[in-house]
Amino acid sequence: MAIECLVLGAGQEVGKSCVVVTIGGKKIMFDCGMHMGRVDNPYPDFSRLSPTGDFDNVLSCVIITHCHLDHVGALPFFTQVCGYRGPIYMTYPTKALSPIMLEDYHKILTEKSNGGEKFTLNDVKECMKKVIPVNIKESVQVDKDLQIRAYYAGHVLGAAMFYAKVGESTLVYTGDYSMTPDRHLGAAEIDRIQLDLLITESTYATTTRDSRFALEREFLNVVHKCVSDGGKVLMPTFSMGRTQELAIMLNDYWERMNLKVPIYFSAGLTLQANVYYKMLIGWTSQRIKQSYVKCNPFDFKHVLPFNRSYIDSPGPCVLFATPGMLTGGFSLEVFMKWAPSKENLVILPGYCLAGTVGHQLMSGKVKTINLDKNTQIDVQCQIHQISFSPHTDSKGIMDLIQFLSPYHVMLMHGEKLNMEKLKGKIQSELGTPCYNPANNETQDLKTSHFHVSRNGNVGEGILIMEKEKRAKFVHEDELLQTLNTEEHKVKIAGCFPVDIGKLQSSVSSLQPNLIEYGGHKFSENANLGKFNILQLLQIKLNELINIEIVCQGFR
Amino acid sequence: MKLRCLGKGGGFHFPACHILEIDGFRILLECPIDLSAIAVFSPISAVFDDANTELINAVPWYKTVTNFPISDLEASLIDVVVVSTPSGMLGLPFLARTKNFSAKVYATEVTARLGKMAMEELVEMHGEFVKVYGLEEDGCLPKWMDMVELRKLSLALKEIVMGENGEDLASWVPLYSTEDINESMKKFCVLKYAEESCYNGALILTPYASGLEIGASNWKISGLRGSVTYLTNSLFRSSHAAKFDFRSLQGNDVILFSDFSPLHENQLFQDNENLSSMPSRRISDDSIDFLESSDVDEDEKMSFLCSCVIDSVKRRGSVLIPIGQLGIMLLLLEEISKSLKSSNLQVPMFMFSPVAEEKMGYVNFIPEWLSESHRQKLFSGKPLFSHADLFEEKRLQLFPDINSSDVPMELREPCIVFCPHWSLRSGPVVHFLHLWRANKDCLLILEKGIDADLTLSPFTPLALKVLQCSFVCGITIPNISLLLNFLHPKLVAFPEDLKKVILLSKETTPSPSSFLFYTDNMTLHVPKVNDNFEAYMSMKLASQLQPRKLQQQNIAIARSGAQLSLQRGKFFLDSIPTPDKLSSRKIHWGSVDRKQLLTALEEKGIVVDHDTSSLTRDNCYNLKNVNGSSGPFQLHFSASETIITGHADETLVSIICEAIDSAADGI
Ligand SMILES: [Zn+2]
Ligand SMILES: [Zn+2]
Repeated sequence: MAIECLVLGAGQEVGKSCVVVTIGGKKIMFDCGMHMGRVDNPYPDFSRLSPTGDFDNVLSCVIITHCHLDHVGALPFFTQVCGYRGPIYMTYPTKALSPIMLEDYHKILTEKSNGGEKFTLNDVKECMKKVIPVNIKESVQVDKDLQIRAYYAGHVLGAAMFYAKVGESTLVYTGDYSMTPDRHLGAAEIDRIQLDLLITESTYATTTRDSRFALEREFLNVVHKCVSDGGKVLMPTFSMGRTQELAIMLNDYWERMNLKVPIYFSAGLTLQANVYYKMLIGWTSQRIKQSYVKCNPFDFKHVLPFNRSYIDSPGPCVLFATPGMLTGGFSLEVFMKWAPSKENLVILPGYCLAGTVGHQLMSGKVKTINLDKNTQIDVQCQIHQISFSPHTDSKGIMDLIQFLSPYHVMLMHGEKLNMEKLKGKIQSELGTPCYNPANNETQDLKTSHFHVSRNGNVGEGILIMEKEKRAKFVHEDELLQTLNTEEHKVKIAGCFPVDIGKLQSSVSSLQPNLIEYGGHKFSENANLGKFNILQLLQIKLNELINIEIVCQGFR
Repeated sequence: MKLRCLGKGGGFHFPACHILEIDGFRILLECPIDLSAIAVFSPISAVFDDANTELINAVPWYKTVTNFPISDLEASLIDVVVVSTPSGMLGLPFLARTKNFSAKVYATEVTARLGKMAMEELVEMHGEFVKVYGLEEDGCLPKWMDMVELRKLSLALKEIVMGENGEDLASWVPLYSTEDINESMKKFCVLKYAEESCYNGALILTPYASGLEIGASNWKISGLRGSVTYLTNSLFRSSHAAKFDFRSLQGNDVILFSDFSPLHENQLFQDNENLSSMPSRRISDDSIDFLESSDVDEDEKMSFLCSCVIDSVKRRGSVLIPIGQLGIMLLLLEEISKSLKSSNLQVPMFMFSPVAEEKMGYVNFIPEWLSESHRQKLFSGKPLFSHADLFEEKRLQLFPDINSSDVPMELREPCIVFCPHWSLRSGPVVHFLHLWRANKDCLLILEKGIDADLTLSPFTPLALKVLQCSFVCGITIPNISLLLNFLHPKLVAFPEDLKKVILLSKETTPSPSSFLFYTDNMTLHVPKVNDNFEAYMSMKLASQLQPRKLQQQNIAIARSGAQLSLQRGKFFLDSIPTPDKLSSRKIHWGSVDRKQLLTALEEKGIVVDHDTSSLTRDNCYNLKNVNGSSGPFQLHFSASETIITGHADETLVSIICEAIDSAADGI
């Protein structure tokens, strides 16, 4: 048995996650993402999968782990432009939220109007219609041989790790995951399953983070200080996930500290997202699920919709604006206005892809940003990077590998140098072979079939293998019956002399009342001679030849 | 495998109950209470001076299944409890409070949650009786159970309380407490649809949607020797619940058919007669056509109900709806509010229940468990149920009970009230029945399966209009054999009471499966469907095999040692550290090819001794060793054995054996 992984994206990088795994003769595409930092070449190179473009016969199915664009961004392109028509699986929330993310992104592209969009809004709609939604832990039979199952991954609402099984070959593809619960999501949860391969993200391959509580407090303090000094806080986020988590935190904090400074969501989109969140409470953390009966945690008391005219109005405020990473659109527009003021603050809530404005801000003390030839932004405002993240840290990755103890580990979705370090650690500390292929490379893995715990019963039998039938394991006593045949015995009838010379004398020298011979006691019988000679002979013979001889009918 | 039906139940609220023994595990299927039996108690109503006094005036006890394993010993023998609907778990705290009850309870997430709400509602409503009559003394039988008192009961009541021969008397138990509920919830292992769960490494239990109710399930129970489908009441067409997932049940070895709905629906004879003339619409489901004769009727029923409701409120009469089926209640709520809107009526709707808020909130965030049309609402970003809007517009208001502080002093009438309990013995419904029973413009909507005469007797004389509606809550008769044919089991265990149904339909569509019929409280031995166990062999072990081809060319056999282990219901065979220590016992079978034997012997220098050829007969050869000292010896053949006689030493014997080995099948 062998598993083959063709990495079409997120190999030694973050962005356009896409890997095609061949397992037991089935080809599964895990994630179909896009690279947001690259306008020219944002999609995986699907032609490597099928030069003729006949994807339907090549792939058994496509599985999408969650609604982030680096995981679902290329799906409309793949189905509507490349023409893939086979089954697509994702969780219920991912199916509900992905179109919002895709439409969100589409808007940026059309705003930039450089012809970057390769799919239309209608493509998104048509594409999502084909998606088969799955529930966590539901065993889904893709076809006769291929079974898949989603496991809770935290990270973003609806994110899932996917398990796939063909025959006895198994693997898990994690997508993005978090091993600690946050304000609205639980931690990743998976069964201890025997795995040939674990493909895991490694965004934070070398980082071990501090306690979440301290990091959250730091964030709240920074925001509080800025608004109390009269500054404006800009949070460029995507409509899903981070926004809700941070809004829950700020809403609670505002409540607790009795703050009156307004918190805004940029137009419609994020409010719409909350409608989805309310229906998907079952996918949030235990804490939120339990609190639901009293009040909906996604009805933010302190959050108001933002009006474009507020950009220039004076006074402090907090604004959540899309898109994240300041790739363009409304958040960039606000950033250009607010960045030159010292008292303002820009919060970068998460990972920013190389090539984005967010990424430039992250990388240190940037004072000017050249947007294009004619546009230069003077950056005077404070920059704060949120250090709590919906991605697992290196300890979480190690914990997961240790928990599942797969035969092979493959790293994706991370930076090359950090991946190398983690790979070394996995190999040396856990003794598990580990790989981190680059994009467009193929990784071949040998798998042993199953390994059984060493606590079974040991037995012996005969295996009968008949053509076109299942092999049968029987006990040797059942063999003849199973084969429907009679035994053919091979017997040996030997003649050899037996010395019974002393038998007579031993009898005569016996005690009158007791005959003892070879440890056997006989009570005396009146007619000793007639009775016992034969019996004594039998005992003697039994001693000489190691075969049971039955003595009967001598009386 | 053994099956014992403990009771065939009584409709939607009282599912059938069985004990299934499989691979040495004892599985209790459902743990219900017969709530219709509390009709023998009178509702709390000091107000009714003119009330029927025949009913028992006491804190009610509750009736379980007649042969319920309620004793400590019986309960402790149960390994697994499987629950398919909320009604199927109402009796669970009775078991959970026995000593040494250690079973694990399996149910879907939604069933467990809705069932817990139903239990809490029951305990809450029961509290009203305790408030009036005071707490019962522990450990002694209540007065009404006294033989003298029992004799005073009317025939109808006696039948309910005691059964035909008094056998039911032991099935009455006092209600559990909130702590008992919480304790029993700890035994649960909750699952999603199609989630496989493993008990004790051997049994795999998987629930699949039955379509009966949100979260309701059928089960696949896989043992070591095959799989059982536990088929409960199932609906092909469901307005709210995820649809009946019968495809996932295909190919299981045995079906335990436990949908008694044809029996309770009384459609048995009448339907059989018009089987052919029934207006049937075939709904094509890929390759299978199931008869969906009922869905048109169901829609008609619903619109008829709505028109009655509208009529009432137009005449300024209020409407009381104590419907216990969640799906029906949600549907009524939706349809009635639509009708009200289209008739331009501003009639308020109220829902009274200690769990109303929780229940109505809960169904709004379980899209995965709902029907296709409701799932679509999720994907288009609309609330799953319209009642979310109804709250917002204040057209529907929820209250925990009628005494809760925020209930307006005088409800604006006419109004439409949804409240428990369908038994009409406790809960807010009793209050409203008092209020409206004399008003001929008011309307009461009851479920079928309730003995309306008995249930309504304490409220007589009645002026209000009573509408008893029946909704299909199981597989309809024409579909039974179609379904069984599709599922293609080897064996079907079928209720004796429904034998007529299946025999009749078998005539038209011969079934490939064999049928066994079970009756109440009789143990049915289900014959083995597979003689063998299935096991997976490791590559390592397979590569160590040294197979030998038999004379029948298509068979090869190999002796092998192996380690056998059981994981998640599957056997695995793996190699052992010292595979060479195998038994040396030789077995031969069939006949010996003499020519081949002699050739083989000749190669070893043993030839037929022609000097004493006179002794060589057909079945006996004289042989001698050309270069050895031992011998001569003889080989005697018969069909079943070969005997070596003469002077053969050990080496010679082993040479001969080897030769025989090459001339006959053996291992
Ligand atoms: Zn992500
Ligand atoms: Zn990602």
